[in-house]
Amino acid sequence: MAAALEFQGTTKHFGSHVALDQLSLTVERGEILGFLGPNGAGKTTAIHLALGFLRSTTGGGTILGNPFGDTRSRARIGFLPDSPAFFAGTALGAVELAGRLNNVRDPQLRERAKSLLAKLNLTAAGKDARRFSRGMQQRLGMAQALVNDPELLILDEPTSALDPPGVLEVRGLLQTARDEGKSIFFSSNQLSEVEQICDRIAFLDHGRLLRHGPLAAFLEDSGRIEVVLQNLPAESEALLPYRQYGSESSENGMHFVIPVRLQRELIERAWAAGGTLKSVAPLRRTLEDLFVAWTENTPGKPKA
Amino acid sequence: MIKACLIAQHLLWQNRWLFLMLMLWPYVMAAILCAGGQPDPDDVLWMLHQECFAGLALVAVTGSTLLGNEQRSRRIIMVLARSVSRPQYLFAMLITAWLPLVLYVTGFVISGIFMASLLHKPYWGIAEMAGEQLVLGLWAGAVSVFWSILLPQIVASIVSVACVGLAVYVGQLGMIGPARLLLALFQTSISGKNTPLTLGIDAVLTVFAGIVWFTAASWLFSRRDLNLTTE
Repeated sequence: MAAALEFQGTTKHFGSHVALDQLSLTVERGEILGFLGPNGAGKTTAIHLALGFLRSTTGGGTILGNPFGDTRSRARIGFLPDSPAFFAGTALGAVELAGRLNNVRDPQLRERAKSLLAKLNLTAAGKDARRFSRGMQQRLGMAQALVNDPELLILDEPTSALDPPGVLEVRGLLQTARDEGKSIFFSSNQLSEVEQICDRIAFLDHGRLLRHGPLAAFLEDSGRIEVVLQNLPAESEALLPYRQYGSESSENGMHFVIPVRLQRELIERAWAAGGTLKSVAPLRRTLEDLFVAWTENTPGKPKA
Repeated sequence: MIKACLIAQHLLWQNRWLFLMLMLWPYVMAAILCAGGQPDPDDVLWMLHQECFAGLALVAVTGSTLLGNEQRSRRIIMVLARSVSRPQYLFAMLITAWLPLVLYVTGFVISGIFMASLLHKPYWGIAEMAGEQLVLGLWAGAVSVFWSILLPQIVASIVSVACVGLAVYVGQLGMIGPARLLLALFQTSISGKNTPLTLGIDAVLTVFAGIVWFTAASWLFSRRDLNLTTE
């Protein structure tokens, strides 16, 4: 079976500006891929290329096995833009319109639209959608994206305007969607969201894919450990060289955060000084750490 | 076709107040003309011809601004992210530009017949002008949709209305099709006595010209980026 979404060396220029540079990336069936990057990295451009709003300068790609922008594929996709916009009319009407344009028919459509609005807590279904708050519009956009029971969800900043309960509802919907075997490709700067629900991440900066791979591998691969020692005087000279990496005292003992390569050396010195080892634990990085570190890299140097 | 109508329905509803205001134009003009009793026949004919041009200009301006409005508001994303092709979307634009003309022409016919009856004249020419407007409206809509793809809204509107004006001029030089039909429109009398024999063929050629413009617009639009603000 073809990948849900595949960029094949996709490049997009706007005049002399390179918005996307040779992007090659695959979203497999049934996975959630978080698409990260600072503002202006080219995330939305990539999404717009996949949906056919823009045409690539070179390269291309496939979406559900068909070329980018294919009308038949779009019937099997759910898309939530970063700022959803609606015609004059009710929320229910907006969801039904999205369904009809994706070949969903009554009575299934009416039932599904109502159930989605209820799930997303959009109780004011009869109100003009344009008068909704931004958060409610985002929920409504999500309902539109899900109304055709899509195989692939493409979400551009799906939780950026939501309050915490809204974030939880959307997270629940995405997890349900994944459990149902749907593929999800979503761009976000809400790193906690990405950490909680993504299988893999791809990091884009200045139009170039800098990193991509399983999220767990990135988070575990910090290269640092935390060592907790006890029965050592705080001013012990043996341990002075390790304080530069980060240390603090607590009721449990002295905590050192050091590079993995210094682990053995530190523990042996501590023993020699009469200390005891309480614990050694690899230090997980947060996505925020990674984001900052990757963004600080020299732009335009692919590393993975 | 169904999807295009669905989109057009929403676009029309979106702009309903503007269209309804424009629909009133023929009634307002008739009321002004007839306010002092029986109007002068020449004034009525002049007014009807002005209304014909205004009707075509309505289509041209609407057709040339819709795409820009939808891109600026980003509603186009909501539609084109679904299973809607670019030609279907453009066809929705064309329908949206043309359907208000039907309402406008209805007002034109009602107010025209009212004025003709005040003048005790047969009003076959008014029905003729209405039919010519509707056929020419399809052509003007296709022309304006074409320009809306290439040009900014205001420029596209000016160019589209200029195309209608230019066609009248070209018609005077003997060009057939929409040009001669436009010329016939502006030469039709209230009673319709001077109906040219070529009206039928010119109507067919006008529809054909509209199809050509629309096909060119679809081809072009399918190969262009949407004008969206991206990262």
